[in-house]
Amino acid sequence: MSSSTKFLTLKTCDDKKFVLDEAIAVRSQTIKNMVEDDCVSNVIPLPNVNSKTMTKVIEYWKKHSEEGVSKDVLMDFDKAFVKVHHSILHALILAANFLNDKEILDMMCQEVADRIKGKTPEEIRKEFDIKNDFTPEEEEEIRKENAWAFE
Amino acid sequence: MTEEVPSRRSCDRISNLPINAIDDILTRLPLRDAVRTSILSRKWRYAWAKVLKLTLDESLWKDLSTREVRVKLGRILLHLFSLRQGPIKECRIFIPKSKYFPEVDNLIFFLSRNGIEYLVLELPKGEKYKLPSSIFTSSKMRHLTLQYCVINLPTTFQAFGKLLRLQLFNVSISEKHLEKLISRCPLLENMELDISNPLNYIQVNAPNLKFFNFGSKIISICFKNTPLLAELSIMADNVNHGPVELIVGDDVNRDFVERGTCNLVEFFGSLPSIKNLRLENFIIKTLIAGIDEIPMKLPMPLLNLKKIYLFDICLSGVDDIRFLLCLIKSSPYLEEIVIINEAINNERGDDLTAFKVLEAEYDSGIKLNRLTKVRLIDINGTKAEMEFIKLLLATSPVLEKMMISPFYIGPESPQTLVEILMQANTFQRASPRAVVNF
Repeated sequence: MSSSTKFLTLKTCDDKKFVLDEAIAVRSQTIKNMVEDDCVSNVIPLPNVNSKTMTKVIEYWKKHSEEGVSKDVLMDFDKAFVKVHHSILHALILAANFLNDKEILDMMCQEVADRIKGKTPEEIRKEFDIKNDFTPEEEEEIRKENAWAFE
Repeated sequence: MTEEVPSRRSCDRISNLPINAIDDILTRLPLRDAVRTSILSRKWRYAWAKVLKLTLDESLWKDLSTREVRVKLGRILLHLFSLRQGPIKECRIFIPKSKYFPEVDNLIFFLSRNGIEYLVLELPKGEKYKLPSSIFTSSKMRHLTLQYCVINLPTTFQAFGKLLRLQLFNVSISEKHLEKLISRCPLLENMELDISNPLNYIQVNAPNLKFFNFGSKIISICFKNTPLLAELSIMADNVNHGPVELIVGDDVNRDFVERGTCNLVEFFGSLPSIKNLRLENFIIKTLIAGIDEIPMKLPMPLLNLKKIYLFDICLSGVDDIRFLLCLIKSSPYLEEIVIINEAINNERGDDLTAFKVLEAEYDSGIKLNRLTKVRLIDINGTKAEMEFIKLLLATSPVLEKMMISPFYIGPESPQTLVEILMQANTFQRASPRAVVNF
């Protein structure tokens, strides 16, 4: 490891600390801006991210910063990375949004879209535990309102 | 249930994502799927209607007849017009099998009133769609792609003050309107034009243009105020026009004759930033035609030119050789030359004169100090062609690779290849690293 490697400490909302190579951490635009504006003290607090989600994010950052990893390996990694319960997808979207990491955000939103695409409303509700709060009359009205899409 | 597995809890979190994430997810869905999310729950009911991007793609029209496409388009548009909320920044419209649908006029009017910034309109082959004037009032437009349309600029057209990228494919537009359109896009950086009606002459006035791909035949194209243009391609490769000839006295060409053509000195004089240049023979011809004598060098050197790609130039033609030498000698930083040679053409081929012009170059002190790659395609082995190969090898001290592909006449001519190879190997090379390949 070269002597110029700098480390940052990230502190999640549940008070867990992560020590990370700065070169990797700046994949987050939010952290990058903090580093560039020189407003980094010893510890960067991440009030909106919990340690479990941060572990996932760092796993992704590290894999995508490794040298000599083939595209196929990365693609397999990404495929496996998004195959998680929707509550984790949700947490990762929020984290990526806060950290301003467009790559993770895009990937997660695409995964949600892929899980919606081509499914019936019932299947989508089941996938994401969405509660149908319409009365049958309202539902009928919505089907009429958007008739072409429900044919 | 323990803290370790919150994921097992049955709780709808996706619906509570921030609005930008919901937008992002809906944007990635085909329109039909996006609209269908309205029935999931109250939170989702009108979410789709606020998405900034609208896509009408081929998935909507699968297996439909022309009449059915029209009926469905009408229903979708009525639905959009009544339920959509807020601006639509980006829109891609793909419509198959249409002839003239007034519905598309309504959609474009709707978009122009809703802040459209990025529009791709892909229409089918056949009778071209006449663009409504409302499109020209879209002052926020940044990107415009049109296919199979007719453009008639309304007299009230002011400008596309924010347009960065313009792509016209199989579009009909008059010379005057095209010039006006380009000159009224002051920020335009990237332009691809494939105009389907014949054009004689256009003047390009685009102070921010960096990339220009022109894919139609034209007699003359003049650059006025294009100081940043770095990548230029004038190749009518996908259009099958007949030869374009200027007939003096013809009514159609009268205006053009009055305005004059652009010769090669003026042409290159207006391209100080040119880096990559691709030209087809027809445009080279007009650049030469406008000048009494092809100069040895351009008055201003092309200090940024790195790569030239010349299509259908005749290495056995004296004018083509003079043009090529003038260009090479005016480009001190040239790194790569690609030439698709035109097969021997009796009208233009005056091999011996071309050979003599090339031979005389040894005394001119020509040096191609940065040239590393050369590719010559369809070489016949004529005297002038071989002399050109010899000249490049003798004057390029850092040449790494020269690829020569012989012109293939038939199975009885394999000796051409052997002869060219043998001869080329006897030429002196200025670069110790130069490899000649076939």
